[in-house]
Amino acid sequence: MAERGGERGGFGRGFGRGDRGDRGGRGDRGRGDRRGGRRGAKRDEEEKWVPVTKLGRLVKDGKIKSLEQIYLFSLPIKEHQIVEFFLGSALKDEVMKIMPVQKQTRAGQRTRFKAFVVVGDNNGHVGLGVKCSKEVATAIRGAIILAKLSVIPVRRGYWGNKIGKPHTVPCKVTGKCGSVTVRLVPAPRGSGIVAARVPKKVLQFAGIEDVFTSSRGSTKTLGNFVKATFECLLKTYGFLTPDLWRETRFSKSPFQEFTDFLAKPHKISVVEDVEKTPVY
Amino acid sequence: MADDRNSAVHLSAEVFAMSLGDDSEREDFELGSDGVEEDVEDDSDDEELMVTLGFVQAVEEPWKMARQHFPCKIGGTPAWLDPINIPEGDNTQCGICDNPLGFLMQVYAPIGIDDVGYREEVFHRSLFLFVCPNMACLQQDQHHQLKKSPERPCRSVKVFRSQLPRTNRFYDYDPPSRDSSPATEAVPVCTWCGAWKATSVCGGCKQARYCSRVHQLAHWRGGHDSFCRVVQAELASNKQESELKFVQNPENSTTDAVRTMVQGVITRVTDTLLKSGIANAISDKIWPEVELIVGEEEDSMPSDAINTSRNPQQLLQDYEIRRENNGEEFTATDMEDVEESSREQQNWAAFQARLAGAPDQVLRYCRAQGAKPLWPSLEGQPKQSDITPCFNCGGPRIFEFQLLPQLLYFLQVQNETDNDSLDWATIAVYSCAASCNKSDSTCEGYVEEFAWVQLAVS
Repeated sequence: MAERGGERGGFGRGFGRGDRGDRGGRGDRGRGDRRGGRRGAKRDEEEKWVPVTKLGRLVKDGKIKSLEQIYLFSLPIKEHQIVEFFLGSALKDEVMKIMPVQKQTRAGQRTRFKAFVVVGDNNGHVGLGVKCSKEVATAIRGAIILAKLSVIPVRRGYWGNKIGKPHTVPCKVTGKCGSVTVRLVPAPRGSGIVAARVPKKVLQFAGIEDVFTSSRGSTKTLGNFVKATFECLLKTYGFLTPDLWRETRFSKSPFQEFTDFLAKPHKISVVEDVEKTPVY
Repeated sequence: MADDRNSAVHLSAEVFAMSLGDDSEREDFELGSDGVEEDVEDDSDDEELMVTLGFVQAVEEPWKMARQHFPCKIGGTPAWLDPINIPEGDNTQCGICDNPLGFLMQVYAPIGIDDVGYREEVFHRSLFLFVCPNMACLQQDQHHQLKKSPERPCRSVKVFRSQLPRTNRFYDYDPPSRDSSPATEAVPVCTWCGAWKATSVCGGCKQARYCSRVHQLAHWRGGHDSFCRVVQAELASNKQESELKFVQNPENSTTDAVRTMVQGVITRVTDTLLKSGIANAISDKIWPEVELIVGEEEDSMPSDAINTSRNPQQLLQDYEIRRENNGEEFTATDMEDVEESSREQQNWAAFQARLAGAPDQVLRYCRAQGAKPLWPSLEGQPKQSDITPCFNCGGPRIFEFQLLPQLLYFLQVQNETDNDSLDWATIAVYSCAASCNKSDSTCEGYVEEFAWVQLAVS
């Protein structure tokens, strides 16, 4: 029985394994190979990104201008490509530690590797990721992605004279996690980061050059220190300083913004500039 | 001998090599983890079952979208497998807003000899998925998909399955050639949506047909009001004249040109419907038509899955170099209690990792015993009791395929509006395990199947 129209007779072109005597396997194998071949070639990674969440689609369309717009409305970032889209090559990453952790099983011990990765652009964004996996490379890869998802904005200010770039936290802030409270205190230029090893790394990647820290609580659980530090850094944006006394003009959430824009096509809507970095 | 081997195992574990333990889990000796830690990546079930992926591709050869070629496609109009016994009445409507459902996609999915529910007489088999384009209905639908007590819960997402034996009255026994037309005519479909059976006719021109009042109104406002009168006049005066008459009269040229054009359009529309097996739709609300290409899932993870970060190997090397030069920077006690992400985040990360091999996939097909869909989020997963038994035969249903949110990107669903645009995490379709026929006597007709929608958690 001759198959007319090439292999695209329609029989067996579908998804099920409907193998019948006429055709030898799936008629679409040619296309399948082509997809495999394309994947092997080097492609632009950003082009390859197909967003999965609504926020991702908005970002890919270019409707969102900056990462700060997302932070402003506390929208959860679920795709690491969103962070890469905005911060791009400025984002540096570093493996802090690879730790083997062992699990007791009936047939001996099962070793997995826990990778700690910190990412940051030395300019107000930092994130920390932890991932445990059977292979080191998988753990590192997973930790990088998780670190990017946890990127937070860090606000910097001055200790005294407002000359040069901001170099320290804008004010005394304190963060608490578990029983540990961490207090970040502005420091004059040249003091360096006075903190324990792990928070020091985090603060370095955030772009803070000088800061005094003080911790309280069960200092044995130094790990909570990191989370408390993160809380602190997040609070830097919550603190109302005199330069922010000007009344905020509330802008619309990215999801809502464009509803009105589309509803009134004849009016040009003004997109509020949300990137109001404090002006000193 | 045995001791040497044991010590060798311990030594190698310390030098970053993996030990080959089995997966039985008792106590967890790991520091800093919260409770028993299950490896979300260990999907041993899914590793063995082969998953077929679906990718979107622009329609290159429009003839392939006709129903006699058994297409797999997304958007446009459905190419009904059984062109006569199309679902009608309540089945065509959203259970919540009562508007006609929009056609989203269809797959041609025959059952192989080794698969569950294989029968000699089921040769052709297609599934059609319809969604109400209103997001508010989809959110309400979440409640309805949990209900099991009524016979047919009112859903806004409906799936229909149709199957035919190889010798049937609609198609040839052999695979069709490129130019072939279907053996029988199709039931006329609505001119607006091109999907559902046309139950009513426009009272004015008697040419346009509609499946519902909603579509009649939409078409009227969408341009039919001006056309209808012209066609009416044309038909009234055209009783004795021949079909395509081109009059070279300067005063009447415009009206005649319009008439011939209108007449031509009408005859063309009906001709294409009958001759090619493709229905046309005038509505602009339907989703753009694209083809669904079959592909295999690759097992290996891509080596450069990450954009701006360097290769994990490079990072590891840097780490090793730093360790050698400066000693260990952080001790284990430093890092303890640095918490790992929550289980929900881990599940999401595993979901994304699984997609990383083919990030533009839109459909995952795996119809086998024990196949499970890939769930993006932990909550909103159905329990076994939530999957209703087959409406037709009462038998159990098994998972067949799932739609992924990348499809929304390819359909260019308008994202801007607040809660109005369609957004889902996944739609999993469960079909009758036995792939039963609609009635005992004949294979024809459509059986409704079950779709489980998991919405994106914001």
